[in-house]
Amino acid sequence: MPGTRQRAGTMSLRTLNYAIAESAVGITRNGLMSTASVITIALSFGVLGAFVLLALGLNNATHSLLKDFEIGVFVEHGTSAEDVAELESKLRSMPHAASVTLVPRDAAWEQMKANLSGQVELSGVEDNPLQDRFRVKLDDPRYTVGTARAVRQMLRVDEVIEARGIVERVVRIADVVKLIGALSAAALFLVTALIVSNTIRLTLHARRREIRIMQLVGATNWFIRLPLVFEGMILGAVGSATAYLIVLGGSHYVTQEVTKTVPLFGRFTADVDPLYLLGSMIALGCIVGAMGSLISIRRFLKA
Amino acid sequence: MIEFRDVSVSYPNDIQALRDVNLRIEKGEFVFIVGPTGTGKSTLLKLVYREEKPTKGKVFVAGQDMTRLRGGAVPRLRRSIGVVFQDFRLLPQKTAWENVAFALYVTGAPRREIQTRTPEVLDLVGLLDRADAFPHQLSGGEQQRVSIARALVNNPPTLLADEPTGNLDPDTSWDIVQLLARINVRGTTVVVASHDQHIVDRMGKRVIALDRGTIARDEAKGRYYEFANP
Repeated sequence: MPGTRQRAGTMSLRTLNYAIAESAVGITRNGLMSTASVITIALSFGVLGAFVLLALGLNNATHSLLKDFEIGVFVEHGTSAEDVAELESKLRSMPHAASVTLVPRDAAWEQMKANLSGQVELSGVEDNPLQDRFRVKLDDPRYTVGTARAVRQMLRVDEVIEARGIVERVVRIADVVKLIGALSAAALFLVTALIVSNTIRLTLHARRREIRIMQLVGATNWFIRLPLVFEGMILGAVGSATAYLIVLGGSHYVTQEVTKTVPLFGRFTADVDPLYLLGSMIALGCIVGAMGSLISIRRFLKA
Repeated sequence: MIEFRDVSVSYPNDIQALRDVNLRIEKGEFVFIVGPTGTGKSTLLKLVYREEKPTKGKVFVAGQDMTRLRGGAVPRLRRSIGVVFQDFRLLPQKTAWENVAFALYVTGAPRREIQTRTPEVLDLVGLLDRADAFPHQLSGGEQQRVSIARALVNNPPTLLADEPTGNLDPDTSWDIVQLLARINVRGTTVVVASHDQHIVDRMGKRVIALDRGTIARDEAKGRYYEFANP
């Protein structure tokens, strides 16, 4: 009996098998539309990928700039070695201290004399006028101002120097860059999804007759959807893999060419694991393809 | 069993396709729906396989109220009704075999059943030797046979045919109608919408004549026109 044959459990695996086979047939027998979809997806994803790489690079650059900032802590004259050591351990235990380096006044004095020899006559200066000094680097430059304020309260601290204005400005720029990057990436993603779903709609439009016939012989909506969703996923994956090759090759070329003339450019390149990038782009392609198919099919399933 | 109770169908632009239609088709009957183009024959059939819903009245198929059928139940209904069209509606990228087997796949039939049932119906319509041909490689009559095989493969109690011979030459048309009659003898209810006077008259079956959306005649052994030749 036709009515009693279908049982959910036994049906699903067969349907899945069928859907996979059918999606392969669909792609090969609609070769032209499939190719068009792949190219569209590849191009939109290429643009998206290139943009994300650019944003990541900018982000990277601001971070590497910020990494170089440090706080200078000058110790009062005449502080004993024990007190200096105590201060050092206090600095090390600060919440965001990444590294604390002591610059002893004697070593600094020798260094200064060596640097300035022949330019400034320092032989007349008998006493070392310098103070012991700590160079403090933070794990996040955002905390520079707060940390400097805390250090100022510490015993034996004479003066604290931090590049306050610059750090704040760079942090603000970094935040703006991040925000703009995220917003534009989201917008581009949306545009990409729209283009892809439009392309899939065209593919489906060419096959609406087929969909109507499926409905006539009693195919359930999921039975019709599944192969088309798989098709979308496969096309999305192939398209995004192509985009990956374009973006990776392109960024490699650009980095090499520009670094030749602007050595500092290295700082502006995103530091992304290529396999991770490939994986995430293919995953994204699958998602966009599946979503695009699902959204577009809805129109055609409504009789 | 198909039953229409005071069924009217009207479209948004004030066109009335059917007006207060009452009819009853028993299990195992062979019925012609006749009348000129645009008189509501197709609409009448569409109400049976739930391609359309009546604006007014009720349609029952095998005791089920079509106006209350949920959308999710439509696929199951379609499997119990075979439908054949004037333009065959075969999947152009599938062979005759695949087109027929497809209607079985859809029901989640096991592979073994597909392997035995598909050649059975292809043999029934006399096309087993053309199983691997694509629709464009087949003649009109052969394509219609494939579509009849597809309509029958799920063993539906009802077979609907909307102008099945509209695109065929007289000899082929006669063969197709003979095939439908043979299927009817096996117990399937067959409803054929047609404006082929010659065939309707020669078959001598029940004739329901539509005229501008209403039933003009319903005769047990009817002819296309009320009088021999108007």
